[in-house]
Amino acid sequence: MTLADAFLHLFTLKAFAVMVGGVALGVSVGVLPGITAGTLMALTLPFTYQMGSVEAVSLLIAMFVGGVSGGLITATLMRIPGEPNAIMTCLDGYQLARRGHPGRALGLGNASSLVGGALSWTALVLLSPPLARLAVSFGPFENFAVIVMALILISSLSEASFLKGLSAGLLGMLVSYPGVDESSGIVRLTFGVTALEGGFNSLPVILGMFAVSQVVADALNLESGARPIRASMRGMFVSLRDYAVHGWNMVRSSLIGIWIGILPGVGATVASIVAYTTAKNLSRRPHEFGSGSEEAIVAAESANNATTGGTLVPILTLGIAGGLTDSVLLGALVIHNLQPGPLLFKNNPEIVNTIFATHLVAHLVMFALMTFGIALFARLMLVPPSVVLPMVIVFSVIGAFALNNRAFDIWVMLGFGLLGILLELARVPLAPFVVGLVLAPAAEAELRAGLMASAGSYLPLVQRPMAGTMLAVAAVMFVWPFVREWRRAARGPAAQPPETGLHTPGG
Amino acid sequence: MHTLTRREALRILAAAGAMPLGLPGAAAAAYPDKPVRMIIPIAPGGQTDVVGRLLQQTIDRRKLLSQPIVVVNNAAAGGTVGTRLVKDSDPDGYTIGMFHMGLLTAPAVGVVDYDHTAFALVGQVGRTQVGLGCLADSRFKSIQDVLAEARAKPETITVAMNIGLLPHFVPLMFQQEAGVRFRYVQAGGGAVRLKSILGKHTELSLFSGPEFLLYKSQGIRPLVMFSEQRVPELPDVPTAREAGVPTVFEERIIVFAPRAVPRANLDVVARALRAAMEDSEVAARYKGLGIDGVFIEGPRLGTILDGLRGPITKVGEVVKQAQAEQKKK
Repeated sequence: MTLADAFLHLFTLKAFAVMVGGVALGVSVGVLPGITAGTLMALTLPFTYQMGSVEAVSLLIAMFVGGVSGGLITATLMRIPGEPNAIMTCLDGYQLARRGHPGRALGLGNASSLVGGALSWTALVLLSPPLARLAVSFGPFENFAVIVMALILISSLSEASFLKGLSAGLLGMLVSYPGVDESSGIVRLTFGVTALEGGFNSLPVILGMFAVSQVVADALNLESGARPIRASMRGMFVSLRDYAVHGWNMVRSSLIGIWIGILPGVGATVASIVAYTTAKNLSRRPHEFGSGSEEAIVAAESANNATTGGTLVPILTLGIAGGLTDSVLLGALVIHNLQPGPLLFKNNPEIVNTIFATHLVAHLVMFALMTFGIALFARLMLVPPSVVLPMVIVFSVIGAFALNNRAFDIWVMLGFGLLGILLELARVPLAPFVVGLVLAPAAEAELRAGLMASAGSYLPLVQRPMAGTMLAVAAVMFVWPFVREWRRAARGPAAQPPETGLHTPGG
Repeated sequence: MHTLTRREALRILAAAGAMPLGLPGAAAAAYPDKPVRMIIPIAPGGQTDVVGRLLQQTIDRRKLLSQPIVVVNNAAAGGTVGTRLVKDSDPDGYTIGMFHMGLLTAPAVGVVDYDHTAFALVGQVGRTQVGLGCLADSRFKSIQDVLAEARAKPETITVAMNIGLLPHFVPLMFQQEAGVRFRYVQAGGGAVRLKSILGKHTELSLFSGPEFLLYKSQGIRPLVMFSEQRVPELPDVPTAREAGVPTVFEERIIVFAPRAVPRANLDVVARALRAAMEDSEVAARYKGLGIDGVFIEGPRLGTILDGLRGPITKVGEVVKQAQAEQKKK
């Protein structure tokens, strides 16, 4: 089966129905807070045993693509990440929506998702083998450097109050520590609580911080009757001019997403964080970030969708998987007696071509479904919050439980919901908290693996060219916002961009 | 092709609905009279999970048990949360677990304070041979090269491991019995260790027989197997014994239940598992996965595992000592 055959096969009735169903389910769980694409795929995996291998991979890829995309909607309309990777979209998408442009925010996000997906497809189809070789050359020190580039965001997100942002980031890091230390097997900071041995999983913590606290805040405002968002869907369709204006940002963020997707186990959330930081640092209007910046939405959504193609590169060419979704995909191949790796292209071209074809067509289907779905979900805003808010809580509870099938994670979610409310009251930004929470364990694991290999020497961090270069870039990215502020101050207030009337500084 | 009928869908829904209730069962009536929950404490897609779901589906399809089995994955904390869940469940036979040798190695490094003796063993449902491998164009041509260099330069040869599990344990056992020392680097599951070797970030790692066959095309070469005899699929690879080191260790997939479950109930599950493994389709899948599908009854398995406690504890002491030194730093 050639690639052309695979595309043709995809448009036969049954294959197409399976794929559209997969995308629709993926988008739906993406929209639902708490239930992730990984959970959906893990639940689906046993049912694929009885399917043909072509259909099975097609269904899972479709779910994967749909799931990465759907989170945008809940993030924009409710400031609740439907998927963890939509966390950056929460920051700006919601603000833009609240200013009366929900259609614009969703349209931009959707268009960026499509561009990110399509560019990553191109990389997947054309460059898989060389990219995979390059990815393998990335060891613990290089991965650590990539993560440091994302960690820098804590400083850049905290310009309003550097101290509060930094505290939030450190608090997030602290929360990631309890449990079994993955690098030594030692149980730490559990204070004898057995349930804590599994640690605070990031999903229930994020759900608590964003979903639960948001629902409580909205519920307290019920009496005042103020609807935060009017459902104007104007600007849902993105014009060619927009593609021109945001084109470079889309391409750059997609490239970041593709590359981070290829690195096993780093993931879409890190990709959107790095793309967001990079966009902010290169932007002519960095002060808009966090208060409804279009560039921010474009960067975050291009990058997280671009990881889909990147992730498939090491799975197909080397049989290497990192996160849950990757492991399920890899598991599906193994279950169907397919050998992921270089031989897959030779022995089972029909599978490889099906994956290629599905990845692209699923993105087009996703774009169509999301366009339709955005109009549909926007109506959700007209549904009384007294109906919507309990549903959000129900799905969050289900999602927190489904992660590991244990009730402890529900309590974690509720506890961090309370913390989220307290932090909001103290005007401490939540985003740096999440960045610290998600990135600290990954940074720790990579650095310690590297140190184990080098017998404790930190020198490879600067001696290895890629690691050294990326750390230097990270240092520049860290310093740049301060330099820019200093230069602006030196030039005097007249140098401020004239259109500042639009945005409220600091959110 | 098999599609899900409405009745099956309803049955699965009913099973899922009944699962969390955990009603104190009238186990004296014909066991099982409600769905049996099987906890697999690893993420979906891994070898143990694939075997578990294969057996569960075969048992349900052929109605080898009067009630369906419901698989629940709980991968938190390297599987320890899941095994503890089984240990602390009601001993009525409606909660069982399926795990690998991590059941014995986790307590040895001090992650949990119980091993297989805290459970009633249902049986062994699969076994794979494991061995050390390196990059195909590595400077090590044989395991003797590795041992010679490790003797000359202790703690310089890097081993990609997964802390507390077999890829950590077996090399430690081998080095103790060979009188050498390697340098260990935390990597993770099979795929991550593969990447580590391919990228030349580490030099050696433990893989299973099926993994060696799978990774051959990627350029991984087995150096030694820790089996009793040479593995038929890898006839050119010597055993550790042939290389003069007595290490023998196998990966086993183990089904277990809370300790106080009546033996009669365990036997019902064991019979169903054994019948499922004799199914021709299952046998073919085991072969495809490279897993040795000989069923071993609980009591006999208990004796085998008891025999491994000595060597495992010995290795564990070394790990704990290293951890204590690290804590002091």
